[in-house]
Amino acid sequence: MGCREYKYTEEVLKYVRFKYDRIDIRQELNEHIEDMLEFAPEMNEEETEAYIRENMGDAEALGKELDKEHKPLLGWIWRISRAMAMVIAVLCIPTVINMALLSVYTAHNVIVGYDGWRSKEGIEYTVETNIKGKIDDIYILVDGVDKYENGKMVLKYKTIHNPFGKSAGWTFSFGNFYDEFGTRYYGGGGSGGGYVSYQVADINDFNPDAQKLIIDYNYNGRIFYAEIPLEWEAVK
Amino acid sequence: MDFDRGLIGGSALLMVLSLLHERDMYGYEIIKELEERSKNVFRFKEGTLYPVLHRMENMSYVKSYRKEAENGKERKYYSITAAGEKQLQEEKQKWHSFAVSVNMVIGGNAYGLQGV
Amino acid sequence: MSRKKATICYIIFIIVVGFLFMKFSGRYFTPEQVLHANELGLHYGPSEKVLLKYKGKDSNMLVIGKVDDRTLSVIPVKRSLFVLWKLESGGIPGCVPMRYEDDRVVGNYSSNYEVVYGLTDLENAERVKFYVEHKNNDMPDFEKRGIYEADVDEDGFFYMPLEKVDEESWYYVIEMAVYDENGRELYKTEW
Repeated sequence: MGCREYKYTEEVLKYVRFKYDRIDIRQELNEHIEDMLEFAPEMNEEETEAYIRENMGDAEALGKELDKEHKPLLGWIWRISRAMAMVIAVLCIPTVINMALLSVYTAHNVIVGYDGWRSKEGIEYTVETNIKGKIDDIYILVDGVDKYENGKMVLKYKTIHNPFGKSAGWTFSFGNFYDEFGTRYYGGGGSGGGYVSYQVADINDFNPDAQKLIIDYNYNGRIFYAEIPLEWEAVK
Repeated sequence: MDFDRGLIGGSALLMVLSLLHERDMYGYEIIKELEERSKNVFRFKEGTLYPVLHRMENMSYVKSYRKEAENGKERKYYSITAAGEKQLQEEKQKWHSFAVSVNMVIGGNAYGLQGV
Repeated sequence: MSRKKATICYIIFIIVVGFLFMKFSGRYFTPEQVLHANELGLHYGPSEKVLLKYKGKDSNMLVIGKVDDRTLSVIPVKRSLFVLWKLESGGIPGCVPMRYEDDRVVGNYSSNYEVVYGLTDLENAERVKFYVEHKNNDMPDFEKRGIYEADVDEDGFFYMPLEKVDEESWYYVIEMAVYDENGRELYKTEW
């Protein structure tokens, strides 16, 4: 496999500027020379080199022709881009794993829905809504309100984060709710993570005479306003 | 007759692709095959084959890989690609047209040319 | 595959996968990009101007932007992978409205980087003085640390690094006063 070096080959390689390709070319040329010498008569080293030169051709000319096919500029760009691609591929691994987990979690959220965050036990009435809105890169879909036997109300809404938007991913929740009389209620509750998050807001001691649940988010130029008429429908 | 030229010529591509169309070969093998088939009319400076092979690989006409040869040693084999096959057909066409034209000039009506 | 084709493939890979990697791992090319991305993520701003990029230790940086005359945006960032930036985890001040009384705006204090920063919309404000106390667990009570001064820039922004006495102490800004170019006191406050 060419453990032997030939002066001819080394001279050819002098004209190949991109050094990383020399190993391969050296091997290929030396193997050719090896095959060529197999059926040649016994010669000393000097005669051998002359024999090689005679059969292979001018070393400088060959070297220059080969150099044309192994241009250093392309060679370097190829090496660098290959290295960068490998680095990025490795760097990606934790992120890909993270995304996979997040996607699984998101799928789980979607499958389980609101039931993962609030118990269905004791729900007496419900009202469905189809309210949509957007705050920066978060899409908000308000799906409705459940009312329990004990009077507790739970607002159900989904937030969907667009991962290709300009904003970093922070979860978004509503914190304050109102009735048509202007009374403010604080509502917190369960939510998920992931790209799609099912969220519930527990609203306690809501005025039983109030006919509307109002979401009035207005901060820093972001506005989300919705009035939900509480036209209850009995459950079951 | 001895044509002592390098392979760096227009018909090199055609001849090498043609051989590789038949089977995969390594450099030395190609040289020997060319000498044999041309009944030793073509005897090349053997080194000149390699720029041709490397250029063909750059143009994606051939691919290379290493394999054990019949002599038991490992060699760098070349195999023709689909693009190479297409180029071979094109080169054959060009050669045929060229030959026909030359023959028409020297003897009229595809002198001496049998179906190529 | 020819080397040229392979190189093109690598470059496309670098661009596409590189972009996706940065997007999904929260990395950016500049600290300003981290600032703006998190402002949008926290639903305020974006800042109209970056006021300060204060270098802390270990390649951390506090980026402060001006949302409006009364609001600062404070986001800590840190270097990632030598050439990129990401949000530094830990406490994130985010949107910091300057507390205002009598329609004046005063200041706030960050403990991550031992920097006091603030915003004033007083027209002639040129200089700010802080009176600072410090305390650690060994001390019975707060002790005076010193009086620090800072210039107010054209945006009304000022900041002052406080060198730490020791790792254990924490600081408390007792008093802040705003002066004009003649040294006349325009406003004084106390927390």
